[in-house]
Amino acid sequence: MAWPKDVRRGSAWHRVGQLVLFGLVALFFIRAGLTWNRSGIGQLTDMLLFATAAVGLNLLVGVTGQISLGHSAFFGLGAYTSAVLVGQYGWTPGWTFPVSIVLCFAVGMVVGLPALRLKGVYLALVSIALATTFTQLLNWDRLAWLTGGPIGIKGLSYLPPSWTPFDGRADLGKWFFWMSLVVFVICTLIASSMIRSRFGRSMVAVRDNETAAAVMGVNLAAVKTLVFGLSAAMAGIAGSIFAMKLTLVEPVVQFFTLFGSIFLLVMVVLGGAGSTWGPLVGAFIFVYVRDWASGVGEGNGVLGLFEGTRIGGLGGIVFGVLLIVIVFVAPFGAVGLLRKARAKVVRVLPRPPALPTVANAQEPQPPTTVVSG
Amino acid sequence: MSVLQVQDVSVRFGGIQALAGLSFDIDEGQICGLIGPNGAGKTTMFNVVSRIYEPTEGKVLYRGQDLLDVPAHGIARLGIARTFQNLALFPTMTLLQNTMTGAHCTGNVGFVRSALRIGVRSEEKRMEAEAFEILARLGLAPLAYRPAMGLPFGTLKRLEIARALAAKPSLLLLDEPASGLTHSEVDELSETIHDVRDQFGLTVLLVEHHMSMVMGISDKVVAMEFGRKIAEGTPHEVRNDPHVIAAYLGTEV
Repeated sequence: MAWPKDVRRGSAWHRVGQLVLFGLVALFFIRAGLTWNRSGIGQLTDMLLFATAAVGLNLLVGVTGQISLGHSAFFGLGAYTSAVLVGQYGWTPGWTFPVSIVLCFAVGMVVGLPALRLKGVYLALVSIALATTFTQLLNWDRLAWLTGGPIGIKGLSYLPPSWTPFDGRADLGKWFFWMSLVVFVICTLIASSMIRSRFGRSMVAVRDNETAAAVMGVNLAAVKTLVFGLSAAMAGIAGSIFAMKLTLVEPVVQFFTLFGSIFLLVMVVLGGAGSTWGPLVGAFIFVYVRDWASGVGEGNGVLGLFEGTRIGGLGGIVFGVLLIVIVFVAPFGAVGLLRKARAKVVRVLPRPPALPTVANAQEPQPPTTVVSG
Repeated sequence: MSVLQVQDVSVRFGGIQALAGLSFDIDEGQICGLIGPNGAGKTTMFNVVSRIYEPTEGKVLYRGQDLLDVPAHGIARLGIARTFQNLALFPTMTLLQNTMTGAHCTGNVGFVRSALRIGVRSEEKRMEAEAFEILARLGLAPLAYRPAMGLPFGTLKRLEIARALAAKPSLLLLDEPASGLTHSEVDELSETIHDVRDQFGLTVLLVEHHMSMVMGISDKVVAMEFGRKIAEGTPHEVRNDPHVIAAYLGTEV
C-alpha cells in the first residue's frame, strides 16, 4: 500500500495511534520518576514547571495572540506568595498554592487591561515594564519586611505529607517531580479542552481579526482579561512549586527577571505557538539543549576543537545559534516539524460530519497544508 | 413593523462628514438595496449598525430597541449578522471553524465551562453539524477542512455569507457580496440570497455596486450620495430618479 497511509480521525486506528503516543510519553515520565537519580529528576521537574508556565503563556501568546514579556513577574509572584506565607507567616506549604493561583489570576486580569487598548509591540513594551518593575519591587527596602529585600527568603521546605507514599527528606526530589507532573497535566488538559471549544474559537478569533470577532459576538475585553488571568495563574502555580523546590526565593533568580519572560516565550515559539504539545516540547528542548550547550567550550571542547581551552560564554552562543537554526527550519516550532514528518507516513483525514439532512454533502477533502494548532 | 429604523444618523471623521442625517426604514422580510457612488457612506452605515463606529448624531432602532445602547459584541445575539466588503475572515481557521465562530452567539460555553469541559462536546457537535449544513448549502462543504488562508476570493466571499448565516440572524447585512465575482457567480449569488431570505425568513440589507443584481433582487432601493439619501423606492422608481441619474452619470452643464 502506498504511503502516506490514510487514517480517519476518531477511527480505531487513530485512537490506537493516539494511545501509543500518549503511552510512550507517559512511560518516559513514569520511568524517569522511578529510576532517575536525584539531579536528573530535579532537572526534569524544573522542565515540567517551566512547561506549565509555558502552557499558560501559549494560551495567551500562541492562541489569543497577545504578546506578554511579563510572565516572569507572575512566575515570581507565585513563588513569592508561597515563600512569604510559609517563610514569614508560618503557613503549611501546600495551602499556599491556591492563594498563589487566585492572586496571580486577579493580578493577571488587571495586567491584561492594557491589552484592551494596545497591540503588538506596544503591549510587549508594557509587559516588559511589568517584568522589570517586579524585580525592582523585590529589591525595595520598604518592602523588605515582606519580601526579604535583596536577601530574599531562605530555608523553605515542603516535605511530603504523611498520606503520600514518599519517605520524607529522602524522597523530596520524587515528591516535587510527581507534584509538578500532576500540575502540568491538569494545566494541559484545561488548555487543550479550552482550545477545542467555543471559547477557544473566540480566542483564535481575537488573534486573527478582532473586528470580525466582535461582530460575531465575541466580548473582546472578557476574552483578553480572562485569558491573561488564566495564563498568569498557570505561571503562578508553577512559580509556587518552583520556590518550594528551590527552598528559597531571591530577586536574582533568573526566572523571576525579564530573562525568565524571554525564556518562557522562547519555549512557546520553539515548541510551536498555539499547539497543545508545544509548551512541553519547547520546555524540553530549552532545558536539555541549553544544558548540553552550556557544556560546550567548558570541558573537552567541541569535536576535539578548542581541546584543553576554556572559552567562557561559548555555550550561550552555541545555544543562540541553535535557536536561530531551529526557528528557520521549523517556523511552526518543533511540533509543526513533527507534524510535517508524520504527514509523510500517516495522513489524518477529518471525521465525517454527523449530517442528518444534507443530501448534497460531498466528501470533504483532507487539508493539504499543515497549519499549527 | 420596521425591522431597522435609521433615524437622522450622522457620522463625522474630523473634517469629513461620512453620513449626514441619513434616515430610512426596512420592513420585515424585505431585501433592501443600498446604492451610491464610492464614498457615499454605505459601508459607514453598516459599521454604525454593527457598532464599529459611534455616530455623532441620530438613532438606530432594531425592532424598536436602540442599538446604540448595545455593546458591539451584543449585536449578534440580537439577530444581526453581517459580511465584510474586503473580507474579515479568520485566516488560520478552517472553513468549518470560521463558520462555527459565526455561530458564537448561538452557544453558551464560556470560560469556566470550556476549562472544565462541561457541555462542550454536545455544543461542538451541534455547531459542527449546523455549520456543515450551511457550508453544504453554499457549496463549500468539500473545502470544510481547508484553512481560509490562500483560497480564491470568490470562495472566501461565499464563506463570509456562510459565517454570517451561522449566527441564525433575522437581519442580514451584506457588504458588496458580488464584488470580484464572475457573471455566473453573481447570478448564483442572487439566487442564494433569495433562497436564504425565503428559507430563514430574513430581512436583508444589501450594499452593492453591481446594478443589475441590486435592481433584480431588491424589494426596495435606497440611493445615497455624500452621506445623504437622494432617493428611495422600488428599483424601478430609483432607476428613473433624476437625482440618481445625476449622481451616477453627472449632470449636464
